[in-house]
Amino acid sequence: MIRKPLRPLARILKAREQGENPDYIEQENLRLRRQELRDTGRMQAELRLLLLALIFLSGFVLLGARMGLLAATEPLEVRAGLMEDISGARADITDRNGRVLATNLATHALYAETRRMVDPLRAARELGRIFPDMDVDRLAARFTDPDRRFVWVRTQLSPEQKQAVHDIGEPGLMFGPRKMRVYPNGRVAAHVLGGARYGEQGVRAAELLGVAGAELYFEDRLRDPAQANQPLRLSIDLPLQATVTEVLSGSMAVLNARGASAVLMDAYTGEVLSLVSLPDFDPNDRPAPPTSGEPADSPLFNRAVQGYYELGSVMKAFAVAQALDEGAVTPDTIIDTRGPIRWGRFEIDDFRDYGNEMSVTKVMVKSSNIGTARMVQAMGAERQQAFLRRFGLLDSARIELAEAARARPLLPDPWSELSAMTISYGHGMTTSPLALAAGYATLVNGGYAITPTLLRRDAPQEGAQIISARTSAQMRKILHDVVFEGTASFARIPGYPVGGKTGSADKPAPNGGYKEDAVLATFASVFPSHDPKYVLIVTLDEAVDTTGPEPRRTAGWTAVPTAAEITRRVAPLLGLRPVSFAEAEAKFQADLRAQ
Amino acid sequence: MSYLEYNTQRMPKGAAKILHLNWALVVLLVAVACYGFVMLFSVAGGSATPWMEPQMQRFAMGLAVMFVVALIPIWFWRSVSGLAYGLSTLLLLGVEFFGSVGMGAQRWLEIGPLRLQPSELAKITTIMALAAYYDWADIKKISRPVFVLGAAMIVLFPVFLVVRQPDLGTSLLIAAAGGAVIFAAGVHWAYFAGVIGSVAGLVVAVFVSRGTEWQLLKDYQYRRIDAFLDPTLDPLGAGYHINQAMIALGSGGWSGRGFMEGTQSRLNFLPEKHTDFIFTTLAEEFGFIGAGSLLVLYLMILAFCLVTVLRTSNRYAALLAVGVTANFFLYFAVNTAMVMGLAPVVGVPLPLISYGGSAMMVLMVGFGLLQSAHVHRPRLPT
Repeated sequence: MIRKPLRPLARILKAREQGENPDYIEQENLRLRRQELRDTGRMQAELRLLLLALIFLSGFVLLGARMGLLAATEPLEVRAGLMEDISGARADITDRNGRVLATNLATHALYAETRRMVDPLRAARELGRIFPDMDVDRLAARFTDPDRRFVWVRTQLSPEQKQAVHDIGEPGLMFGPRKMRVYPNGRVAAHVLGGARYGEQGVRAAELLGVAGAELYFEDRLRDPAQANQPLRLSIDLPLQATVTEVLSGSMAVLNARGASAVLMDAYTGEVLSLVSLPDFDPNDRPAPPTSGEPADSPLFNRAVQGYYELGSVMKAFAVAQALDEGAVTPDTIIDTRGPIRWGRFEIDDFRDYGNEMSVTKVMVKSSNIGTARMVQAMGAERQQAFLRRFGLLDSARIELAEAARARPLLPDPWSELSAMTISYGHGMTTSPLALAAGYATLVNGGYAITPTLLRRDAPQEGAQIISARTSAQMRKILHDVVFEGTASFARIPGYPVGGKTGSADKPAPNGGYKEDAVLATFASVFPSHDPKYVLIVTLDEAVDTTGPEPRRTAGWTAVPTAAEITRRVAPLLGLRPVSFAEAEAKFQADLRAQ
Repeated sequence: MSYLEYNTQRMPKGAAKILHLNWALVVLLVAVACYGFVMLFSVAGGSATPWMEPQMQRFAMGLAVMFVVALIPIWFWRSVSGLAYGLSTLLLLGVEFFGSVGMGAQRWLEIGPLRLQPSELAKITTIMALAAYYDWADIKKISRPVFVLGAAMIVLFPVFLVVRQPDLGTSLLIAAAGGAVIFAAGVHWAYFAGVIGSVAGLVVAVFVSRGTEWQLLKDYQYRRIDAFLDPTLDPLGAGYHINQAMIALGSGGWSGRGFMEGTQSRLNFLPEKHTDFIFTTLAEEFGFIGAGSLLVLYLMILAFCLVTVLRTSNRYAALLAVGVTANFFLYFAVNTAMVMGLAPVVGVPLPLISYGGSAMMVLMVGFGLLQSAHVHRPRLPT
């Protein structure tokens, strides 16, 4: 750095020459130098201050921008991003009159925030005392694991348990509010409701999800926040359901059956008033699906909906209805029932020999395989297939249960003439009790197609007319005669005339063919028979009546008395008026004449 | 050129000094404080008690103190800087040994009926000491390592004591304000680069030390850092403050829910709604417009402070004013950044608005010093 001299020689000499004191030059230069230094220092300082001001300003700009950003954000989005978005809402389910079938109960889940725990080992020990099924060592290990901040301990607590946990006094043990799905009626309507489980769990709530039945089928409706306070109203009638369950389980025990099912349906609206499958389960404590054995023997299996069986003679009603509807026969037409019919190496025969010829009504009353086979033979396989399809018997039963769509009837392929004949008396094709109920409803309600439903509806279904009103009236009379003259004599209930058809189907053996002593007994009934409003299907699996000299397995001894007992009890509950036999007969004659 | 200063050639004397105060700044301070009173009234559910009335009394007292400090010549303050610094350090040491524990940290010192928060006092005395130090030091030598070390000692001693309390927020503020003064004094760039580099290193060390024997911070401080990095991680625990605060801010929108209509704050979702998190109430009730106008008020205060800095040629006064300004800015910036989720949650109040005595008093003393620098600035003969 070149410094400017404070006393430049030239100026000093010049000043001396003029006789002035040269010191003033040095002073002046010193002053200038100081000023210069101050100015540059000032400039530097100002630069730095400017920089600081710039930092401050950018801080303000940043904060202002953030403020604007937050102000522009919808608060709900902020909430969704930052908070748990789990809804524990689930609407109640009630029966047709508003009686609660499924509801929610407030309870608590127990979790631990391990970092807030004062004495994790003691907490684990105390929890082990309250919940004897808990593995204390494992719990302690999870509480003290440094990688864990959060441990779920228990999904549901009873109030007593909650108090006990509270009394441990451990600040790290916390309670999360929960909704618990409760089925106050226990096993009643278990298969209709299905059950619920917890989905995603949060500290403040846990999702309640359906696992089966209506709970699963109506998942979206039940979890819809807009309808959370509006119960889902089913068509089920709780007192009827309880009555049917009680009678059916009594029969099942007395008759040593492996299982049983019952469907009670309104013949005009298609509403299922009662749907029972036994053995059943408690949806409050739904068992795990079985890992061994036949799934169809599991209590979780809904025999009435998922169970597709060869139902035997109950199917004859459709063959007869078709023959009547197509004008091929009248109830009094005489059918050739000489047997057996031979078809290749196959042979169709009756349970007993009923003679060489019978009227159509008699074919039903005596349940002649040969008679129905002859009628179907006259119409052909294709027309039979089309007829049954219109009844919905060739597809999965449509009902508001999650399981329904997953089960399908087993159909012959190809649909040969032989198949047609066996199907006419209920073999070679499977049908579920529910589909059968819908079919019988159509047979007696004037011929209108019925789609079974579990939702309450008060108006009749405006289904397509499948058979004529005349055929329907004839079928009512024939079914009535079956009870009063034929195989279902146990169904004669004073005051409540019942019509129906029995079916005692040999159960198929696992390796082909049929079992010797295993029968699926079915009684498909309608009541009151002169003006049927309700259809009741009862099936008993391998039921045996041992009160006689030899075991009796046919439906007339098992399913019919059971159905009769059910009808006896539910008819007054349904508000049906007892009628005399003459009154019923008069109605039949009037109906037949009207056609 | 000046409207108020009709006589710029001479230093005002006696009562005339009052006319030479930076009155615009005083007006701004009162405006911000009034904003604060309104908010305290609102968070108390429309009641002057328990917060608004005491706050008004304190502010009035603070204003009086500011005037007194402003009228005392700046060279007096320069001469007592060392003493004040020494005293505040002693008080910090006193907290270390005799302090009472409040909310998990030793911060208060009780002397008779007086409850003192020496860490607040240390903020201003550290700035005073630094300014005096650079006024004393030869400007040509200040970038020498020995001189830089001296300045660093002045800053780091109180910082260390405050960290020990532990009060991370205040200690960081002291360090940052001190840094601003050192920067303005003209110390070489390289030192700042070095400090920023080592701070980055320290941050790494803090994270590495977690869970080891030599863990540098307390567990709750780590949790706050975690919660800052991801507030959703623990919405009910350490992240609770910030989540609720951001919900409040978001629900305010542009024009706010209206005075006394804030739900987040009213329904007690927000902790410390009258102190550190009062800004969220403000933003929820008055929206972006309300919060933005507060921002503008603060920006104007800052601008007038910087004008004071620029107009004084007294080195001590200028550096002191820079420190006071930086301190004020940091208070505000850290608090708002914290509630808006831009900074971790450290206990820093919103200046002039949050309920609290010590912070307000110290802030007003700082503004008093700044006013003193303004009144007593050397006038250049024209």
